[in-house]
Amino acid sequence: MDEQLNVAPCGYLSLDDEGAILEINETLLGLLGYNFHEVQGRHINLILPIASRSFYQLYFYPMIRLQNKVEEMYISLKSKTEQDIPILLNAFRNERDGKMFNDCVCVPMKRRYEYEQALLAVKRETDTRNKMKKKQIAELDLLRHELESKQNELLELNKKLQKLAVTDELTDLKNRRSLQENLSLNVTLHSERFQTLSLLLIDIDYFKNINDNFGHMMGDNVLRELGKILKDESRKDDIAARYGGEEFAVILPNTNKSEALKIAERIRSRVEKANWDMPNITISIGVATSLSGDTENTLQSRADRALYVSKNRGRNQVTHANDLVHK
Amino acid sequence: MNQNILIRNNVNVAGRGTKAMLFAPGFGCDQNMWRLVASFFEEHFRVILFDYVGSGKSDYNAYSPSKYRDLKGYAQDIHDICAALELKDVIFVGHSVGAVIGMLASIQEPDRFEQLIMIGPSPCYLNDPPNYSGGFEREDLEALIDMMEMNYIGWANYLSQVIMKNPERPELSKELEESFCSTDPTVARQFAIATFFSDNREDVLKVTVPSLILQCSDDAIAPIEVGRYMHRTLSESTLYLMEATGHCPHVSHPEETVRLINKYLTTTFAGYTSNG
Repeated sequence: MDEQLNVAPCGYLSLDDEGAILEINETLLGLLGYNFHEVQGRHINLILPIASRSFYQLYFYPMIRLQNKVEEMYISLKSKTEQDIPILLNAFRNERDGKMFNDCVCVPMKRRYEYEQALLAVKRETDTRNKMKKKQIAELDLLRHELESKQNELLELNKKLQKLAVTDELTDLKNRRSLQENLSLNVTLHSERFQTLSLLLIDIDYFKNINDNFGHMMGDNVLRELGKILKDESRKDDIAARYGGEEFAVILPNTNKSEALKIAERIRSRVEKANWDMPNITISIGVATSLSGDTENTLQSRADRALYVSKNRGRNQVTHANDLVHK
Repeated sequence: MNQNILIRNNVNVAGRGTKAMLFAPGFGCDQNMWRLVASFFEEHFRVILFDYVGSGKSDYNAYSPSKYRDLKGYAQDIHDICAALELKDVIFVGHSVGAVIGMLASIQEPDRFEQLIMIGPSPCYLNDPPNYSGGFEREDLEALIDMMEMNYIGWANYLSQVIMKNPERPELSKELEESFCSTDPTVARQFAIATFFSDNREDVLKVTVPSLILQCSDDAIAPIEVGRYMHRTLSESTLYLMEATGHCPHVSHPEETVRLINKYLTTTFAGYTSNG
């Protein structure tokens, strides 16, 4: 071998197609800790750790055969003392005197190897961290969705409870508590705005007889039917409620005496003409319209008195509280 | 759909025969690996070459980490190719993991395959003492995969895309173009794990298609004990020991590879005459 190549600052190795070592320079022998006679003619596997043997067969061999060259291949060699020596390898497939030689040059890359290992480690760490981050984000998303749907369920439930709290179950009208609240609110609002407000109090005539003669089921039916009529006759802002056994009320916001009487009369007449599957059902109505200084109590008690008068005068009629005062 | 699969797997068909011969490359390499062997069969067969999704000139966009997590995903691609070309009674030639992929495909659809020709197959690379010796300890395989990782020329491209968002480096693309080995580090790593950590010994028992095993001497990847194991376990197999050394006889010893395949086919088929 050329003396300069023998001691050049790189390893030099020549292999035949079977992988036998034909030539090797001093530099590489020094790196491996072998002398020439120990490696000459031996298979390259002698100086390759197990992983490199596979790598040699999987990559180096097909490449040099199909492309006649190998460039910048990283591979590990194994020294006589079984130490791994990472190297960078270039190879050409050259023909000399009719024979094929796979000529390789290699440079140890200990420092570069460590540097690349560190880079790869960082990359793997980043990959793992990214994967974890993605997973955590997905988990958070899931939790957020669950929370939202729970919140919606809760809102839905609240709505139901709220409705239950203000609703009369049998007639689906407002209940007594809700009537009081609404009345109080409306009285305040109307007096602030100097508007008039009317209130109907309604009582079914001889309701006790219905229950006694036809049973509570029928009685309940009558209550439900009346509830429907009241709902039907209510305008958008009117509030119909059942506040006792057979006692109903309708709050008529922004409504004066004559309008209130018209509405009351329409309800009375509709009940009278309805088909009840039993002897005629009628109702008595007391109407009151707000005066300045009214509270819900004064308004309510005037309507109550008017109702009492309707009853006394023979039932199935409407009486307005103002008409009592003048008498 | 058919056309898509032919593009996806870079399928190339040549030859003057009618009987299909499908060549599956080994780990991490593309159909170029067959160029010293496949052309020989063009006179009598319909020769079909392809690349795995993620290798060679396949459609990298078709790569799905979940599908190709194990070898079944690759076996599905064999089915797809056979279906797209309406192949029947195929002579399947697989190198290394390609042989195992073909074996899995044949278990699913035995009628599609007439013969399995396996070059350096291994159903399991890990040693499983005391009864099975695959040739590798876990550390060896991990070191091999790390070594591959250090060698992907796609790295720079991969990193630049990830970190700097540089869309392209023309000089690198050209290098990738010329290379016949795995270039995409993430794909190749997953393929390596699917290949080297798979255990398909149970599947070997399920093969019904007749097979030929071509076993090299001094194969560091599929040692001779593994070839003998395959021969012993396969229901109907022939084992030829090759003079060729190493793991890629179709590259290092194409003449011997062609001669042995020919010999096997001649003894198996009446009417097929070789000119080799």
